[in-house]
Amino acid sequence: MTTFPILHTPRLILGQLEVSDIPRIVEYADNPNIANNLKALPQPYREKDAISWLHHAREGFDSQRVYIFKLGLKETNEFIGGMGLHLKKEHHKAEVGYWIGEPFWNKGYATEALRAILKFGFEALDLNKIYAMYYDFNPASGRVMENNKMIKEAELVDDEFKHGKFAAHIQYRLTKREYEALNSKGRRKK
Amino acid sequence: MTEFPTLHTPRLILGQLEIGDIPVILKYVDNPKITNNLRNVPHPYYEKDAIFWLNMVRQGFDSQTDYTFRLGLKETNEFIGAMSLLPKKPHHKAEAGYWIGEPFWNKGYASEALSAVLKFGFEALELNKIYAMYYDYNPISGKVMVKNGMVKEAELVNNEFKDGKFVTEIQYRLTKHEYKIFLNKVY
Repeated sequence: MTTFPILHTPRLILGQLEVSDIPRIVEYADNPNIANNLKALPQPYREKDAISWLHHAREGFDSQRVYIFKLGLKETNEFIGGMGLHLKKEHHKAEVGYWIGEPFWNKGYATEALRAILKFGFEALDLNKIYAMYYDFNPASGRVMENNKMIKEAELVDDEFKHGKFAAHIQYRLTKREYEALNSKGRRKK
Repeated sequence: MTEFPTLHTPRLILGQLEIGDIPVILKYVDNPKITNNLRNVPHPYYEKDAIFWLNMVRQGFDSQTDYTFRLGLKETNEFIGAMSLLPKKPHHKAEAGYWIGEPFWNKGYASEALSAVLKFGFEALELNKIYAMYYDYNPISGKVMVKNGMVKEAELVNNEFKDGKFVTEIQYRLTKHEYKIFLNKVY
């Protein structure tokens, strides 16, 4: 894969993060409501952090270990969030992580994007397993996984020491076989 | 901690791995019944692998990221296996891992040693959580965890590609709080 893939959903274009996205990235990422729900988002979030993220995304694509997609609104390709697949190639699996800018919450964008990413991961990358985690205090992220019929496989109590407190991680997964079984059941409801 | 700790159980002494253990480590680890149940141990297992491990363990002790105990029989300190505690310090948690040489299986040594290592982890290292994993085809390892009051927290299907197959990992944990409750129930 030499050109970064482009995925389409009903309302979104998923493609490569661009330098011109940086101001919007900073605007939306510089928000504790986002940072609290992610493992390692710098806070405050500055231009240098966005540059670092872009660099990580480019390197990741070059080495075929990380595929970070920009989520853009269909009409304008306006940046609204990011979703990435982080591969552990030796085990044919990948973790998916995502965040949506707060003005774009509660519209189903993450659910829609995750559906496209799962398809990409299982079909284009031929992965055997895709999993995702959320902090137990952020159940909205879990709903994105459930909406995509992912299966809960772990409840890791006191798994991280975050901002002076122990946080639990909930983990969902789909294996390739489970994904195929979903799709063979006929058209899935949106 | 500058000196490697020594722990005592009714039948075992837990202490630092020694160079003199290398021949017997080779004898017991070069066995697919052991390596199939462990994450990153090659088979066949050669002296260079034992040296690699010993070096990793010594360096890990220096950086407080690896406490690997040799398990020795009380009378003779004869080497029978090993048990490791690997802290992930920022999160006040550690993973425990272990193996026992096949001639010493089914005698309860791993459960006995884990009891001492949990105590060491929660009390001396002040950890908040200790967890351990086993492959689903190796349920005996799970029994060691259950006997020590550990609680199942994950069933990670197809989590690893090992020897050409996808394997499932089961994870058990104990938080400091759960450990205290378990001790109160036992004594």
